[in-house]
Amino acid sequence: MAADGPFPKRLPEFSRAVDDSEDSDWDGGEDQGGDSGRLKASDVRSCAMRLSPAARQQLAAGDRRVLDCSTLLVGVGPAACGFLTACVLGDDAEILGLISCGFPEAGLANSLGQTALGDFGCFLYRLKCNPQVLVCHAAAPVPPADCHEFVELLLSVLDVESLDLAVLGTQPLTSFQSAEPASSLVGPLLRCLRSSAMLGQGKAAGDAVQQLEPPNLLTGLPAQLLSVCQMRRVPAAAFVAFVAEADCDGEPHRLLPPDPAAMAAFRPALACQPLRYCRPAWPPNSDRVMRLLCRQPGANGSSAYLYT
Amino acid sequence: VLSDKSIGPGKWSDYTCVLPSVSVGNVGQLAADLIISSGRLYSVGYWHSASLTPVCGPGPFGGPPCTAAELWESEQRRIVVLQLRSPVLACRRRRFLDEACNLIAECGFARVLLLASAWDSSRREPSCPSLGLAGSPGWPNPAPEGLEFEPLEPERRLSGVGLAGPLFRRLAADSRPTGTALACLFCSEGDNSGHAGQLAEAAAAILGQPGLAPVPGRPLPSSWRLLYGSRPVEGLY
Repeated sequence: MAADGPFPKRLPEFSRAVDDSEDSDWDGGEDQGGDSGRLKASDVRSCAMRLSPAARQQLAAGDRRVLDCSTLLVGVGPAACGFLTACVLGDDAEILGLISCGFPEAGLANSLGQTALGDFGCFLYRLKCNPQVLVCHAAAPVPPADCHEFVELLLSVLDVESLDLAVLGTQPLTSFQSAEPASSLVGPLLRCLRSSAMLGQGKAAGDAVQQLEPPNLLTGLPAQLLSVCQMRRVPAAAFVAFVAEADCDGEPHRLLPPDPAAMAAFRPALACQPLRYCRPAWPPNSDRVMRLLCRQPGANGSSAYLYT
Repeated sequence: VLSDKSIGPGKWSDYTCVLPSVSVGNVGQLAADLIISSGRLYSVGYWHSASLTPVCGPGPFGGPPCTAAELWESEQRRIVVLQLRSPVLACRRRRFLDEACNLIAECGFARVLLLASAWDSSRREPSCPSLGLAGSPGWPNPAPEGLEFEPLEPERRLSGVGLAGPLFRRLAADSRPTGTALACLFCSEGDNSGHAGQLAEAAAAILGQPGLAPVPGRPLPSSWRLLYGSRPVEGLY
């Protein structure tokens, strides 16, 4: 690369395989933090879980210090969380706790009352109509560096050995790899990837959702959840909807309601394990859906016109 | 390491660990897939690390889903491949090095062969062979007779090689494993399937296991499907 001088500096080659900051001068010393210093070292970031008094009481009461749960449903991103809210959660779910990510100190987390869109907490609910079912809403983006700790925290309060898990998430339609030309793909597409334990127990027989074809991969929190379930032999299924990029779990400042079409993409998953045994409602309650879609900053009484 | 088999200390004490690095064109990882396929290695477990970007997908050879790091073994050949399917998180490279060195020490591998690739422009001379080799004091001459290569000095910094360079220096300075070698292919990015075959052949020669070399006509891993994109739209031209 050219040093100081009249000529412009040649930009380093960029490789899909090699991190930009992994240059040849790094000798394994202190982490440089990556991305031109925008990220701090991993030791600074952490996740924290805050539980409700009822949840803490239940943990303390049991021998194994776990919450009663046979099925855990995890929604990742606005569309998946909206779908679970509309079809599974109901109006009288109990908040058990939340997980917050990206705080500089472990143990610091939002309070359970901070349910606004701008408070990026991932809430854990229990269905009052089916107390063995817990639903986790990871509507706020969970960075890849935090996924490991997030999943460890979430599963630490559950009896993993007697758990069925389903995770719903979205990925951009443009990332879906197919022999068909990209221009011919019509989204949303719903695909499923199951752990060996779920396949081995015959729980996937007759399921209505197409298997995820190679070389497509899950990424982010759904990938971390399914990976852990695969390693720990937990029956688990990941349902991923390939949708328009705007509807994916993305930038934290996009406090927009979920797209109804993206939410509806998950409908075939209702016929599959383990969602089938959670007695989901389809079609969903229309009032609940409207509340979900109208839940955005400035939606009540603010002018819709930028220029008046 | 999470595995169906019991992996206690000394379980792999006379094995060689093949560990690819995320580097230019993913050549090391592609070569590891070819070694797994050609050598008919079988999955024995997963490496659960917080330093790797989470990924999960259909098994590249059929079978169970794949994760970010997997262990494949051949008892007959005394080889274990620690396949990495995702990059190391940018903020956890140092931690990854520590974890990798600890894992190798705990598993008790006798030797470690690192597979990587570097930018073609980092070759000393265009006429130099495209394969570079470095060996630790415990494995000073990893190249078999007849293999053309460019000797790499351990302290030489190669562009695009990822964490293979720092990992090689750490392992070479450690008493365990006994020997460490770095096989690095100089190339550019593009269709690197041929480079992967070349590196896999070199690895087979270094390990003295001709059966690990890619077999022409053998089906490629399903993860290679569409690796370099789909066909162009008909009627485009």
